[in-house]
Amino acid sequence: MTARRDLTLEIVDALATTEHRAPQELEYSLHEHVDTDALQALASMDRTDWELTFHVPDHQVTVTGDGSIHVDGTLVSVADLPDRQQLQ
Amino acid sequence: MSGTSTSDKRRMIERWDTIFRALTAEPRRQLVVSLLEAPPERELSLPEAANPPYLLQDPESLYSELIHSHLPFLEDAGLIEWEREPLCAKRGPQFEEAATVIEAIQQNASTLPPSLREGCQRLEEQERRQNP
Repeated sequence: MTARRDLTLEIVDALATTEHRAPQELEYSLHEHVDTDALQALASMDRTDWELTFHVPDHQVTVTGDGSIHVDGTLVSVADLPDRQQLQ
Repeated sequence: MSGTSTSDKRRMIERWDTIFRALTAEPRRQLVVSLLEAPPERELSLPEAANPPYLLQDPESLYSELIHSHLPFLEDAGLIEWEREPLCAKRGPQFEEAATVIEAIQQNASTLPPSLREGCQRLEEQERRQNP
């Protein structure tokens, strides 16, 4: 079992939280709206000066290099990105 | 070397890129191995068939990872077809391409450097079969 959850799942959870639903209830696949492998690659970079915005049905999602996940401009959660934890 | 057009060669290279990208996560490789070991038309239940036996992942997280990332990547590459309710997968039209690459690696398990083999139950079993 992996202790740290990956960024893709953190974003799914943030969207579910915003919609007051369980993560399993999102009808779409995140991969239809953003390259999830690219997300993982960004999350594992040493540098934190990046920001990625993409759209899913009904929402705009922005993820930043410190792991912050904004949905429609509101901070919903802060993901625990791998390298950040190693540096601490 | 004759008779292969430049566009055919580009397509071939693109297929290799696609296969390697599609297989860039352990649950994706595990699913291809599971499908390879099952009868060709069989639909396999997920997340079980994608959970590597030597380092089991939390089934609930893996379930979400499969839906939101792994399964669409494998499907886009033509390697699998999948359904969400209940979550399951079967071989896709280009399954053979990934299967052959995985098989070639397994058949040469004993020649792989230890860093790629040790701890990987699949390859260690193959290696024991090759060097009884």
